[in-house]
Amino acid sequence: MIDLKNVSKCYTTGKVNTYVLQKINLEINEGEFVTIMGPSGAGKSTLLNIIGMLDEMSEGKYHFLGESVHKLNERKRVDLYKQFIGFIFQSYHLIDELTVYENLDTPLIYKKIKSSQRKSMVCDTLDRFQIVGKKDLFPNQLSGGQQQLVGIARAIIAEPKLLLADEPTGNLHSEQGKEIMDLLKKLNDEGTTILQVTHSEKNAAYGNRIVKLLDGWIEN
Amino acid sequence: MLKNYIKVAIRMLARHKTYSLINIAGLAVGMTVFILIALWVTDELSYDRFHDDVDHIYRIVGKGAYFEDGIDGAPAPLANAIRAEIPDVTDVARVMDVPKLVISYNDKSFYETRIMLTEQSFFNIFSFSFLYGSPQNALLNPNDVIITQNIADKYFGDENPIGKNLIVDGKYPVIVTGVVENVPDNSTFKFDIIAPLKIKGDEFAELESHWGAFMTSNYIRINPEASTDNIIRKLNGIGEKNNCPQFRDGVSFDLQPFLDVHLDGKNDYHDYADIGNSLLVYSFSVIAMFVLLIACVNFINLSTARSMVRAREVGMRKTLGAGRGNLIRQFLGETVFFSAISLVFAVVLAELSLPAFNNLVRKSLAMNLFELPLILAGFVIIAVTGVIAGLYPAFYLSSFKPANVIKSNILSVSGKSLFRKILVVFQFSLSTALLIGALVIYLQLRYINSKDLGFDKENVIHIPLKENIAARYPAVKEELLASPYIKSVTSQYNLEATIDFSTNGFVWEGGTPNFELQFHTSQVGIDYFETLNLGLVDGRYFSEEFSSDTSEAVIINEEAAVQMGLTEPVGKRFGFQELDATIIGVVKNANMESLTRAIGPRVYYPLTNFAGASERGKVLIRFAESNYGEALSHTRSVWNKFNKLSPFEFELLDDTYENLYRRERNIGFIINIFTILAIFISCLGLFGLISSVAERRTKEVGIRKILGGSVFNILYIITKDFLIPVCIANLIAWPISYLIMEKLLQNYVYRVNIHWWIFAAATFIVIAIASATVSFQAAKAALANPVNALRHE
Repeated sequence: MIDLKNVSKCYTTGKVNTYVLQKINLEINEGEFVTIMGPSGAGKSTLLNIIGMLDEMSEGKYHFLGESVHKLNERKRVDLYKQFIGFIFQSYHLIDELTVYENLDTPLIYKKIKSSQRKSMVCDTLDRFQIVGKKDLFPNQLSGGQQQLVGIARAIIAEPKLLLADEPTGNLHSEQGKEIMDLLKKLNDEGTTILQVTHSEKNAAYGNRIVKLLDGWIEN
Repeated sequence: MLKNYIKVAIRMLARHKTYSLINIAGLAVGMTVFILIALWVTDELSYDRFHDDVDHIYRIVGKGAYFEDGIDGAPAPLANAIRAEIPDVTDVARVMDVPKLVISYNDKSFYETRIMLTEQSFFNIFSFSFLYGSPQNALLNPNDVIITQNIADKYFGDENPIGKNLIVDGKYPVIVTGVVENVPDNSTFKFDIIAPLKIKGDEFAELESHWGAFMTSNYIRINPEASTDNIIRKLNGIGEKNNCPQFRDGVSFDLQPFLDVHLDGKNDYHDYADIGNSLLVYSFSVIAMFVLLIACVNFINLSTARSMVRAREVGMRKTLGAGRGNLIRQFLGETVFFSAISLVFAVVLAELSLPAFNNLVRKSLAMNLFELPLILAGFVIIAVTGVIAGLYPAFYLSSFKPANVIKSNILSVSGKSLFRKILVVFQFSLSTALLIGALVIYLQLRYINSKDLGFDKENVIHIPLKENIAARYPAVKEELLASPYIKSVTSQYNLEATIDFSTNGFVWEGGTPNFELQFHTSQVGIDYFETLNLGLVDGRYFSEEFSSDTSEAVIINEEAAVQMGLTEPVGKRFGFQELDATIIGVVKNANMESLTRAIGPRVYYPLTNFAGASERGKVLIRFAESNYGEALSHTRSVWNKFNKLSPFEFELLDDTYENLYRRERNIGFIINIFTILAIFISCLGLFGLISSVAERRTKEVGIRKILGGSVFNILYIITKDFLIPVCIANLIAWPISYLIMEKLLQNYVYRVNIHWWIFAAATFIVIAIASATVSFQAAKAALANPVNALRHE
């Protein structure tokens, strides 16, 4: 599904090039639950963003479901990830001005799904996450755990093949964190490929493979 | 999708109230100015278009030599020559005015000012529709008159006005033979009553044989195929052939399209003519657009300065699959939405201020809210404002890379602060330039009001030389002087402040043959110079002791003596046509006319024919400085004793002179309002900017304080970023406004100097206001407890 070959990312400040990722080779198959671990500044989030197509790589090749991502223009890339990828963030990143219902609706709108179909998809998802009662609340009226629940619901509503999670439990206390991880595990069991970044060994244990990053290199 | 955007827009608006208020208030005020000016400009540009085939109507004007800006007028015999010699001119009509007259019907008497004299062909050229009577039979007899619906209602009520007699000045009966619809507001001709030229009798007959007096306004309708160049050539041929004296000085005829007349009057000061000013139309349009632009700049500045608030949303939406197009549409939609709300407020504000504005511009403009053109205009304003204000922020905001803005909690989006500073410079350049303009206009008006005109216009009133006041002038004068509160009384054929005459063809002893000099002429009664305290330089004033003073004496001013080349003018012979007089005195130069004109050579004749002066003639009365009321009531009782018909009326000479500058004062007033609004909107923007920056820099301020920065030091750091652009703006505004004001003041022969301190004062005011705006927010940030600021992280 994901195939990175010699991917590097560097920032140029003045005359100095700073490599955040160096010659990353990584293959992830459908149905896997992969965890990226490493100390702060190792390049975990950058790697996740590149895989999620939110960030561009400086060198290397990236194939996603057979498409050569490194050759696509921005519009095509947007179309690609819009169709296949969902994101979850440490700080949830719900849109503050929209209610729970509308937050779930937004990605469907951008996918140009018809209104009636959107409605049933949102209702199904609300049901499935048991947050029907909260559909008219705004994010700041929810607890962190509830917000992350909405964040996950929004990420998977369009049934992406790949779910990218950037420290999804980082802002939650352990009880809530466990619930979220159980949920991710369940989604993985149902067939969604998951790639998570985390510091926690406990969370990593939910996955079936760990990739360790250090100073931009993958540790073997 | 649209619903989603609107929801977000409304919620953004509700959540960020200060920000929304600043944007909407600024835009609404800018739009209000724009709407009012647009109404006014549209009205000005719509003048006279209601006439059929108006493109083929022209006015004959004089140009060249002393007619620098052209003159509305041509000799009276020209029209008949045109009828005989230029077949391409299908119709020609001469128009003259008469001053205010008393018109009576039975026991109703009113002064009427908008009286126009013309001939039947006027109605072939112009489209005024007749309610009664017909254009073909209009004005055929010397005492036929045409009146408007208003006048018909005023005098005759429900009676049929046709065939009714109106009495002019208590003596001359005229017959109403036609009633036309009321003249539209956007007509240059603003008459109430039209009488034939022949009503002037011998006076007009004499004019018709005189090629040297440009006393009639001439309008023509030409064949659609005819060439105007040809017609002009033929007109000038006629002028040459008949030895028009002005032609010798280099004057020639020209044609002016009738549609241009309203905004380019060419010295048309007739009471029936509604003359505008093209310079005003253009400059107000430009200023209105600038005010709106200043408001748009607020929007741009605030949206980009507050971009970090939106950055996360942008990142998130992109992550959820939004393309850049989606986001641009969303943000543009938001600005358009903002601008729609602002327009609603602006329409309300405009509606509320319309009466005051109408009063100021002397119009009766109205907003027909439910008419299609206005609704369309509304949409255009919303769309254009929305796009101007929203385009840059939309592109800017939508350019954020999601990876940069969602990485963590720290939202360090570097605002494009240079661009914002340039926009602030732009706003404040305009505001300061307007302020300098307002100051210069104020000083010029003050200068005009206080300038020594060379005579004393205080404590003098004038009353019309009407009815028996003219017929029994000596007795009236005696009765007036009986009051201890009246110091002196004199009379005058015309007030120079209202209308001034000038002519040439004078000869004098010691003058060079063929040397022509255009003299201003004033016909004045005994005691004129004494009443106005107009000083004598040489010789003596007119006096009753010399019987020859009634016909054989003239007085000239110093300027005349200089231009005539006489060092000892007193005693020299002075002639004009059949007049043969002696110069008995030289008086000081005085600004009898508007200060837009220089003092020219002037000759004063004695006024003897009081009956002939009843049209424009005035009695000038100097009151003692105390007991003004007593003097006025005495004057009134004298008037009522002599006059049975004409209602009493008077005016202060001071007011007559002030009225010369009424337009300037109104312009000054409008500019003041523009200036205040422009500064207000600019400061509103500055306030928004500084608020968002203070918010963004809370952490920096906290750290600086912990490191030992003083409150003053922090205040300085925050405000300097804003005050520097304001200072640069001032430097830009100075030369621009200097050039514009220099050009504007050139209109005035007598004018204030544009001193350096005017610029300094404007700059001081603007910087003071800007500093006050900025320091409030900055102080709040500087005084805050650093611990709170840092804990937020």
